[in-house]
Amino acid sequence: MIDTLINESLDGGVHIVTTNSAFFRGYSGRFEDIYFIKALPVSKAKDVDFAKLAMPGELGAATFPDTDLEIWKVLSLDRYKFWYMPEFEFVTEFVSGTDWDVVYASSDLGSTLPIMTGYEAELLGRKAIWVKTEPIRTRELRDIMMAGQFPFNEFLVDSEDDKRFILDYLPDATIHMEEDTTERNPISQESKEVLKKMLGLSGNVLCILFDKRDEFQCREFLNDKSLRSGYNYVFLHPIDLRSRALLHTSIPDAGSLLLPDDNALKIADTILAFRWDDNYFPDGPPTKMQIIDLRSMNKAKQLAPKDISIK
Amino acid sequence: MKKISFFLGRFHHAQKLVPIGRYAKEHELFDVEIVIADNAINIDPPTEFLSDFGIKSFHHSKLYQKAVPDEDVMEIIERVFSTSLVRSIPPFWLAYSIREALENISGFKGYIEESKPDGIFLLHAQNFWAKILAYQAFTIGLPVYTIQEGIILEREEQDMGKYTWASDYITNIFSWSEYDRQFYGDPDIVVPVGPTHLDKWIALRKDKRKLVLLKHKLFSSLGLAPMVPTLSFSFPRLDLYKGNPVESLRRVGAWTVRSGYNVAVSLHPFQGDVPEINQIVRIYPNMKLWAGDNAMELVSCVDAVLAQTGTLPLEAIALGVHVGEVNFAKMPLDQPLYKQGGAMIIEDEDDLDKLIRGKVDNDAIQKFKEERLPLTDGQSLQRLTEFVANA
Repeated sequence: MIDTLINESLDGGVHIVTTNSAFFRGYSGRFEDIYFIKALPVSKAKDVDFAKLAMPGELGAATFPDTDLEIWKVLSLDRYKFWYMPEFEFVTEFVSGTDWDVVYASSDLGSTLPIMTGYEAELLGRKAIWVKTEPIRTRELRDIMMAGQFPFNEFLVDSEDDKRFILDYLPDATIHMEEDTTERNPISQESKEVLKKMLGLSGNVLCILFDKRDEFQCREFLNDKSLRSGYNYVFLHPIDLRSRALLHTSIPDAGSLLLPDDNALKIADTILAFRWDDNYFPDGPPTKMQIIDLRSMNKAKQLAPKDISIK
Repeated sequence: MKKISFFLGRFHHAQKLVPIGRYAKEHELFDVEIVIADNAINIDPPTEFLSDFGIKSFHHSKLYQKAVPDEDVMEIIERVFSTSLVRSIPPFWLAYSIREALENISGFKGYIEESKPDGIFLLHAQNFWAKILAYQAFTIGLPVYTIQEGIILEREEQDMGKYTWASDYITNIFSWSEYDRQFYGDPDIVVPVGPTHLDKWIALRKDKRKLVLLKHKLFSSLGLAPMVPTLSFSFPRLDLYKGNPVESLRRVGAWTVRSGYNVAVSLHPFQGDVPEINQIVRIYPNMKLWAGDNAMELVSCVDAVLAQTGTLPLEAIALGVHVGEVNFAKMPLDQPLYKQGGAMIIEDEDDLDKLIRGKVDNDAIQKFKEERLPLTDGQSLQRLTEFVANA
């Protein structure tokens, strides 16, 4: 994305707006016009303002399908209120108040700034491009697109899978493709066998990605011996530190299912996951991968690359 | 025997509810089953703390949920994204929460249909998952019980109607006192039983030997001399603290040097690590940071508590520990206890001296306790569980 911005700056002026302090500190020397929107101190009026907005506020008396449970009673207090950041409401005013022709918005659903620039661009009749900096193929973006609530119709991505995904939900979208420069280096069978031998192992090895979000599915899989037949060894690979910490309390005997470093991934004949996440393997899976997506909860079929087997 | 299902969403749910379930089982009043759900993106899932409470068997809402139709998700997303919420809530959470809610609507319904509990027990229903579970149970005629979690803040009712709709889909709310009944939307469903989570600490405070042993263990582990009079400085969430918490800590720290008394500092359980606080505490040899799981352990052991707002000062009063309401900045406080007679105001170091020496208005405190905390005889668990068993 930064490269795109640099290229654009050769043709005309570039303003950068960010709510990310690390980005601002890192790039403020490289760009003249970079604006950092700092979060304002939270005021005590926040509770009152939120209640007016969402309890029931603008959510009204709408209920969940086939129930008379009003949606605000579940969504508002505790969840939406927890993530309510009124200090970023003036982002919209900032964006609409500045003079620009094109906005490149980072594909970050964890911030209000990118999507709000899209809504503003729609209102003002200006060009807006959604640029892949975070995984595009997510369940949440899919849901927003399907509901017709995604304001962008022009995208900058770097994979055919991303292009296919977007066009499935926005058939009229304009897709710009950045060159995919990732180097895919699957592990050779020979390397695997050498490493297995060094570890005193042989035969078919299954490596399960342990993602804290799919802790339930993983436990269910490990409890069902029939699902593991066909493998001589089953190992777990926690995808991050938090998942690693959780693993030991969640799954008894987790210690015996772990290998040092990334060896479980390196010797695996099959890698199993319970969802697709682009961040798992930015350079592509090192070996054959399978996803078991219980009741299609994680929409793996819609999100995963075509060559991944989904059950 | 009846089977009551307890929903344990977070660690503090288990802290308050597990003693109720245990008491009921030990006294054969009703059987207990545990149900949990995944915790949003599972930053802190229930399975992580269940083992701390010795709980190995539980039901998970995911086991029972059906596939969520995309059309249902889209309908609600369309509604939510057409509101001003998009300006101030990240789109990930707006969208994610909708699908998650629908998953749990079918998950909890399926759980109830399969497991057939005779009732549901929640910490409270002002919670994403608990509201759904309460609805699913209540609408088919199952009793749903909750407890008063802590101090009732009138501001929360005024600002958000928090206690008005806390009664939604609830059969009975077990309150700390008759006084607290007035705040709930439906006072008729409120049953005063007292603070059940304090029974254990009330009993401990009566057992002098156990208390002395605990004090020794706790203070020694902190590096504080056990026989020296000790205050706890128990902060509320720092964003709610009136005044400058670092400055307040400096003043109290300087006081420990002058007076020779000790202070154990504790932070709100949701606060996390605060380096600025750690740095200040390190300066003063008679001041230490306590980081235990249950603040009542510390409160039970100290001679007095410094606090400001929140439930902890009320709990300290219930345990018979004197409370000083810190207000060095002399700002208006939220529902100040010192104005109601339950605590003394602390505006300077002389007030700290008075507090540690017990120079408080005992008559006012007693009157406060009689009105606000009359049911602190250590029998709250018995009252509650017998009510549920006989309901």
